[in-house]
Amino acid sequence: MNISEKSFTRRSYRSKTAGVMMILGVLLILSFLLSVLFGSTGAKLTDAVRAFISGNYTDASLRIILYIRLPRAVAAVLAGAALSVSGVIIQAVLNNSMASPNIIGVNSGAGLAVSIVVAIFPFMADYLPIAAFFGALSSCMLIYFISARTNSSRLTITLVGISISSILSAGINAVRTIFPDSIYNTNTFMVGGFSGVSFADISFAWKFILAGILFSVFLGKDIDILSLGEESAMSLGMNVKMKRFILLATASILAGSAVSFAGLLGFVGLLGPHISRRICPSSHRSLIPISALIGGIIVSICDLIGRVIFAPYELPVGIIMSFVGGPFFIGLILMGRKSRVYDQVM
Amino acid sequence: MIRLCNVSFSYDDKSIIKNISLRLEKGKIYSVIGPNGSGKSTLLKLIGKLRTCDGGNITLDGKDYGEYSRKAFARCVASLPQSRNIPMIRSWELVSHGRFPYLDGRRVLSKEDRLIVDRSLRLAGAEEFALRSVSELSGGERQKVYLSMLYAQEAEYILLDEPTTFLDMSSKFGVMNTLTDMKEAGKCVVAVLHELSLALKYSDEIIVLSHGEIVFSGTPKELVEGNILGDVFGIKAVCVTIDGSNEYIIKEVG
Repeated sequence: MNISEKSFTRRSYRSKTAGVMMILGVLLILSFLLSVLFGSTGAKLTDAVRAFISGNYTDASLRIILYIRLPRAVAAVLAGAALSVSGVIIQAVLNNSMASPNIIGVNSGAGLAVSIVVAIFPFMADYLPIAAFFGALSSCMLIYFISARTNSSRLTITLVGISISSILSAGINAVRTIFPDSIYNTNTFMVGGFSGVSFADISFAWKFILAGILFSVFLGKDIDILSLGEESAMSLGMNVKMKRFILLATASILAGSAVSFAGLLGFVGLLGPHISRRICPSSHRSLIPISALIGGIIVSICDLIGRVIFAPYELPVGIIMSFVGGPFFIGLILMGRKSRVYDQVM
Repeated sequence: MIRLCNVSFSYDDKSIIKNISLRLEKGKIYSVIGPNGSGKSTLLKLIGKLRTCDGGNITLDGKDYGEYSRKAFARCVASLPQSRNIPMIRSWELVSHGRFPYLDGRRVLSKEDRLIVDRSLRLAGAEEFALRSVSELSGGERQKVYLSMLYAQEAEYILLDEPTTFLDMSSKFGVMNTLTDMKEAGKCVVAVLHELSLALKYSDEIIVLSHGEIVFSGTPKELVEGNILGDVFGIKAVCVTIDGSNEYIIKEVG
């Protein structure tokens, strides 16, 4: 095979990645539109459009679509994308394919910070994403320092993460018990859901999520190098400690921002990265946008299912995601070893 | 030239490397051998700046290691650790990581970088699986890809920790032949090897470590003729000539 043939094939790989992104983009738009069109009530888009044209802004369908479904659909896409990308980064930094924001306690850290702010400093509710970020970052750093100091195996890191997650979840429950009226809809917050989410709730967080995803794409090449292992990355001239810190801070911003309005939404941080790698095993510069799109699609569709399956009652998206995602993930593991990216060592 | 001067290293108050002095020159293959736990990998990590020594100093071309930035050092010294992750990317992409020390903040490969990656794959004989996923390759094929990455890094000093472990015989010879090619291209190759017969056949100099100290440093011929192998490993090596080349047979001293 000569160089020109290879270059041609490389181009075809690039166009494959672009094709995958385009298809996922279309799927995301479709799932977003379906989220706006359907819900637990019978509000119709045609009625809303008619009311909007005639200037009847008090029309129930228009108000439901504009103030309930639309922010909810946007929130689902944002939370899914943020948690999925956060999962990709955490897996790369900790070299552990079983790590995800909810499993290693990043979500719980953010959740505890949110619970404390809402319960004790309710006047600071506007700063929930910042509190969530610091909560997520504290958990991330705790795991990182334990793994760095003890040179632990991947299994140990996961077990330490589960223990930290358990401790932080106990903290959230303690806050809920002591301040029972502090968090609106606490059950939804604990499993993750978008009930009652408004544009005001995501007005702060969306900027962090967008910036976090763009910054992660920018650091894609560095994540690739880090994925080779600490010593290989050092040998290539990377400042591994600093890069890990920057990446964990980015993962924390993403997870914390999502938790601030979506609650302790789990599983998408594990599912998104694994599906992405199966679809398009590639450099993180491609993997991160693909993972963001897949995360957005998963959460969007699961939220829609939760709203329509027992309408007019709603199931929080976290419950649907566990029901759908659990078997799906087991299927992925049974289907092959391809998803075990960071478990293979030579 | 890399020069180690009275280098020592401890871990958890346990002395791993004790007062080692060494010179590593371009155009030679050095094999580091020794029993398990003798400090071979640690020595290689100190030379590769993956660990910092507690005592003594190491210089590269007359300059102390501390004077090199991370990337400047990576352009001179490349390490291939024994344990590394197998990413789910194509071989070509993995080899392109060897260009990382040369990239600016945008981390974009230039046309020249791409040509170097292509050439590196060709030099290590990995061209045919350039577009296959690294995770799908056999151990021998994968090692060729990692050697291509070392080529792409264009460093003058190449450090390898047990590069032939877990490979079949044909792949082991393939790896050693590539290291010989690197040597003939003027590079300095330092490899930790467990297979004594390979070390004796391919090395210009052999460094024998025991309990963190160098107990021998010299040519394979000098090593075979002395008593070091018997003292350190309880073995002896016999040189035989097969098809005009020297091969070594290892025998337990009993």
